[in-house]
Amino acid sequence: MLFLQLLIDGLASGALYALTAVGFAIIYNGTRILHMAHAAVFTCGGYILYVLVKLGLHPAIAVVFALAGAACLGVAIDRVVYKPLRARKSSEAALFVASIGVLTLLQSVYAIIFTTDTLYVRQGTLETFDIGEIRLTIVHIIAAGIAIVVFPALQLFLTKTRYGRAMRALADNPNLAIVRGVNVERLYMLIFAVGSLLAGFAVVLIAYDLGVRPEMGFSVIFVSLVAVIVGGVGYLPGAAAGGFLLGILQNLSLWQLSGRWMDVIVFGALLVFLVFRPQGIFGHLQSTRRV
Amino acid sequence: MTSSKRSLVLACSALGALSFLTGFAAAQSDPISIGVGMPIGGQNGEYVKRSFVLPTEFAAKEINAKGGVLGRQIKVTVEDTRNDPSSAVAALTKMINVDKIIAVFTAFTPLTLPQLPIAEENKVIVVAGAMEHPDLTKSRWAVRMTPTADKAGPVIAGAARKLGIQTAAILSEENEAVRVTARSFTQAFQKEGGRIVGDETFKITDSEMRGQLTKLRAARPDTIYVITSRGRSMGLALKQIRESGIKLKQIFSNQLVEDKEIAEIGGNISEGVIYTTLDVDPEFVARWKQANGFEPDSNAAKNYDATMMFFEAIKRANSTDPAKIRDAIYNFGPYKGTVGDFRFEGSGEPIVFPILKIIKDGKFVSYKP
Repeated sequence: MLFLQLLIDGLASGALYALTAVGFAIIYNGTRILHMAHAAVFTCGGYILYVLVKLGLHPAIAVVFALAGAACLGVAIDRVVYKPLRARKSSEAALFVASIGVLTLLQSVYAIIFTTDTLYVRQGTLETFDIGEIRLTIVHIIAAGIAIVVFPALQLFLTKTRYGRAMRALADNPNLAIVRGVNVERLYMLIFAVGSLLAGFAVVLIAYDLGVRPEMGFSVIFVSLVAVIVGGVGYLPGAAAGGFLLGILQNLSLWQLSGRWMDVIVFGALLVFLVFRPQGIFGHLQSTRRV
Repeated sequence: MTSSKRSLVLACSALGALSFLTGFAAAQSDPISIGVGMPIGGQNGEYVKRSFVLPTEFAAKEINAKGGVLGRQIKVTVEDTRNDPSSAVAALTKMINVDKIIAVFTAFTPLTLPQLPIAEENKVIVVAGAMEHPDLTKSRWAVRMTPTADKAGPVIAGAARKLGIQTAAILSEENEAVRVTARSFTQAFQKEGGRIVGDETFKITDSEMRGQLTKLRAARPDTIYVITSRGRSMGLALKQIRESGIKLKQIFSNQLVEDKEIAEIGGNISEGVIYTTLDVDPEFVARWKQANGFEPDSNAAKNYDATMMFFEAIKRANSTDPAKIRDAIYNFGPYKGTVGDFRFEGSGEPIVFPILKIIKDGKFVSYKP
């Protein structure tokens, strides 16, 4: 029972890591920006949900606005910060530093507006369901539902639609994509919108369950970054698999170890992959950068 | 000496005496400077402001309204220690050198213990009203207003055994003072014939404790003892215990269950929890609530008491010399504070013991096992 319950807990955590990791990877693959401000976009979705629910909006409608808000903020960061830097041919390092700056700035703004307290979207315990001795919360079930719907939908979008194929083309060979007439700036907006939307799916669930606080995005994004490396940079299903793997590893570690080992597991996995398999689990597919 | 020279000497002497007296009078009317070094900027910052910063400011405001201490007003400087030991040391150093504080009001083991050598070197009193780590008062410049962390565990163990509880699990934060409480509970519970079937920890920044609780659920304990240093961790732990489906005869906790964040999480998650605390004077609760708009928890009351006792010590020492104030505290004798009667007997360690309370219909009610 213990093993199975930990596995299910791990799958639920993994689904959330996978969503943010894939969002992060879409942005990195398409733009080559190590977008650490993704953490602030993630948190923004949580605050939008909180404010709208407190204003009396139905949570389901508030979720739609939260997702849209996260996507808009992601695009806005690209337009306001990254686009001018790209125009000046700034290096990847400069863009990375800028993204850290945006993250710090937005976290401070959240703390000024909403204080550093955790703000709770809802009151009370989550609805739970028992299947034999296994206990599921409503968040477990919705996380699984989102993963089942969103990942295939994303795959379809990227492989079957014109914009999806253009995003893949840009990720594979930016120069060739430009020569073929792809509107790069418009595509960048789409990439940031889709990547941020995925973070939005994860944060609405976390905010609904555990509340919102200014720095909540950082740890999730950090694990997502590890997931991208573990899965294989450049290969989107790898990022999703990395997210699930880390969630499961973290929870299954509790089967035999104390809770204090959970972070050791994440960073241990990172080091193992960096040293012994820097290309990640699906590194052999990286050359084609298939999505 | 000619009369003109004599006049010049007299005039210089008069001017010198006047400037000395003026300086003396200015020194006597300067505010008494105290510092508050707390982690107010990061996670849980609002809780720290409510229960650790505001009590000192509130006490200073009250005392200033009554004319101050020794005829001088109290000036409070607040610095952010950022949940980081090096920032805590830097904040204290700044307050000593720039603000010329004679005492620092501080809290939290990882931040306060590194400050002690700096305080000792500069002869500044460290007042850690709600800090429970036993090592604090090994310093001859430190004082607290709360029982040490090892006092609560045996009280909970005794109550659990009287309720017929055979097996217990601990869910606690990774914090040295918290772990001292956990160890003291384990020893006392086992000594009284109980069995510890699980002991899981989480980090102060963690929000998810479901993995740990899944493990504890498999161990089938009669009770879980939840020990944290922040209201947020306590609230999320209680919420997730309720959601986990663990069948418990009782939940025990420490005084953090009184924090207002528990009510914000809602859902009666703390109903029926038995916990250790100190009894806060209802008159103080009413006065505080009128001024600040919310009820104080016992940590706020302890920090208020610590500040008021410090002011009383200045009066008894009739001096702002930190060494004399410290000696006045260490020989305080019986003192009635908002958290009850306590006394100091030659050190900064108060003679005070925790009591038990239970949460009934959302109210904190005395509990007799």
